[in-house]
Amino acid sequence: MIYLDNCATTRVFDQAAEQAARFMLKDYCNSSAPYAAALDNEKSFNAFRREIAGSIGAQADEIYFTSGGTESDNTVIFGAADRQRKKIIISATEHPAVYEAAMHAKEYGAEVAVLPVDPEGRVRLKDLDEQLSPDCALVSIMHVNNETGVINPIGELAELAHRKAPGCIFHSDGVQAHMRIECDVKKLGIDAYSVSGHKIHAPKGIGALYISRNCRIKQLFYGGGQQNGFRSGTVNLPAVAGYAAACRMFEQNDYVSNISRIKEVFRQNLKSCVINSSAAPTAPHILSVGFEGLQASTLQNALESMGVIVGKGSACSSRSSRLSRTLESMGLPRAIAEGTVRIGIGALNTVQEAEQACEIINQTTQRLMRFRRK
Amino acid sequence: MNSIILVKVGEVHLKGLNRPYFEKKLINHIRTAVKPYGGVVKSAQSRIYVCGIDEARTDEAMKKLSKIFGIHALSKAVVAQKNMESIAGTVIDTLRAEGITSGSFKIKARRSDKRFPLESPEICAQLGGAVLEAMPDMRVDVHTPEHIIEVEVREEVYIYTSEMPAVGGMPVGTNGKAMLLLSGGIDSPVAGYMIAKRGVVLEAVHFHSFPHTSERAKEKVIELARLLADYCGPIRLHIVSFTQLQEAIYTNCPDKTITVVMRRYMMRIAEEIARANGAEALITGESIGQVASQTMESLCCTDSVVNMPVFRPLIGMDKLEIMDIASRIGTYETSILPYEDCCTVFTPRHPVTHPTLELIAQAEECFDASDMLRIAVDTAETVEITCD
Repeated sequence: MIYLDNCATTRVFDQAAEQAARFMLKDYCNSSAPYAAALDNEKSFNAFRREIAGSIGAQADEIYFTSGGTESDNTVIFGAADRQRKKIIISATEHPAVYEAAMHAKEYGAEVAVLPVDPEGRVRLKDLDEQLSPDCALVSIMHVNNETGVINPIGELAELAHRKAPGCIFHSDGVQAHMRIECDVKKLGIDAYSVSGHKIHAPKGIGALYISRNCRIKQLFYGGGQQNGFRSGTVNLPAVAGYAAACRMFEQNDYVSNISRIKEVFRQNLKSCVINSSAAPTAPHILSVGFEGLQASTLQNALESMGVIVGKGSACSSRSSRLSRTLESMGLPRAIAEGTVRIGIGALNTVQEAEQACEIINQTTQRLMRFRRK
Repeated sequence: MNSIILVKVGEVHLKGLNRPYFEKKLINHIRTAVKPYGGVVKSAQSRIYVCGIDEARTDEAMKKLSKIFGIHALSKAVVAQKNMESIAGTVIDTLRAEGITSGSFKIKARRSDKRFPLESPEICAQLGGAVLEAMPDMRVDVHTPEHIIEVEVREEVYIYTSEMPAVGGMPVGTNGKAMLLLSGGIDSPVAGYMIAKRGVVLEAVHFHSFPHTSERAKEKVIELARLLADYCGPIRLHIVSFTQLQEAIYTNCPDKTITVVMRRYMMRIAEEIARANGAEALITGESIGQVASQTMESLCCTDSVVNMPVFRPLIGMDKLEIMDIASRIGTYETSILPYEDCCTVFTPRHPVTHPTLELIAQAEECFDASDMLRIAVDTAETVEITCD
């Protein structure tokens, strides 16, 4: 099987699984407990937290572990909406974890403005500028789009937001950016940032939320007061350990260059297709490819039967038959949007796999083109 | 209190000399349904009883029984000894247990055991008096009572105050077997349900068109068959690989005829599988005018390729009525899962709505389907769906 749906989830690195297993099978004490064995685990936890914080240029005490990207995003949306300011600004192409949460926040009195995107799928500064006002509580714009891979100018957007609406929180969903493109939260000037483990070959069920020391976001969970009272619940040390190991793997190996090479193989070799967002900078691991007149689900099924797994839009919403909100917002013609699949490249893919996959995709699309809708 | 489930049959009662045949079938179905609960089924004097089920699981067992075709209603009855003192005491205990201590009531007594010394009106009078004495806030109203207390004097005495409606119909297996064309949409499971309700054993055929339809779409149909099996009993589901034939139709036939030609091949395949499995009719979920392939002319074109009855129980129903039944029987939520359906993947933009047989026959002349038809029938995958 050639697995090319790494934007949905990834195979865990052996090293990450081993490090996680150690804290499940051997060092399993609750790191918050008073005994010595627990103290060792607490030290390990702190070290892992430093490691993960370092991967986005943050300090350890600015990192809170969550169950994943969705929880991190929801925490920011609802934690910010709780404030006196009412306005939340998001983009039309946000992941459902931000988009749906913001829509739901309306029920609690939030006013939500949805920014349009340009034909490449990027948020324009002028559109944000028009919406910013002193009552703005939160701006949440994703770093890398999960369907097209397009990179938003987060630093410029954050600077504008802070200048035009001082005191507002600037959050970015960095789930698809983390470890694949540079993301230094301090340099970018952002207040909150969501990341997730299983997108970078760490176990599922672990994510992190960066919250700048200067930023106040209200917690969602109450309980035992773990993680400085911000996120109660026994810390998932095995998953944190696996997450840290995965970050380390990315730091120590030049996976990103390899991923970029693989993407280039697809760019060069795929035929009769449109590469979406190709005129803008995109993350190295995502390629959104439209085959006009085909149904993405048919192509996906056919490729699966040939041993190639690709994604369709966002995996989180791929069980829905509606057209992708992201592709629709970009103004993509329906015939291309319906036939768009997502190639998600992971650290474990090879150039050889990519060449083989291109051949299979080209043969399959050529065969299926005969059954394009008349 | 010792309790049993009283099973009330509907239409089976109207049968004449062959009634025992229908009752036997029904009892077998009931026996299978209550076996996991340790229930024992008895039958006497036109009544079926289930006893031996633990009180905590009785409601669950009744819910399961309420889905058996042939059962009209169910009551959880308390058993009393065959003397008036025990009966009166049990009636009062039952009312208290159900929180009935005020309001109007009526006693309805039925004395099937004629050896019991009191006649029905006397039983009613004595029990009514006992209730009034024990519960001063209750009052008798024989015309529009709030509570009806039923007392049946048989080999034991059964007392109950409420009735759970069941699905009615005839016991499955008393009226032959038919082959349901199960698409995965809202209509076909409802059509299957309605025909099975008349005592017909169901088998089903599904047309799978991979890669145009997905494995998830296939799983959805298996789940629909499983939901139907709760009512209809085990279903043999035949999954036909329709891709080759469907692609050939799409490539060779004039656009506007594709849907009707496709429906005709589905009917031909379904009929062959039906005959090979002893089914005597086909069932479809069509209703007049719902889509292009369901106009009278289109139905005429699809009917003309089969030589067995085609049952279309939804033919005169509105979509909303069909959706109501689907919700009631629990198939709606599964039917609306958004997976592709082989009936819709190759829908032309402008399908013919008033086809003639000549036009469709001409379209079918465009290619030779005989080998593909044979392969589709011969390679059908069979899945045995059992009920929970």
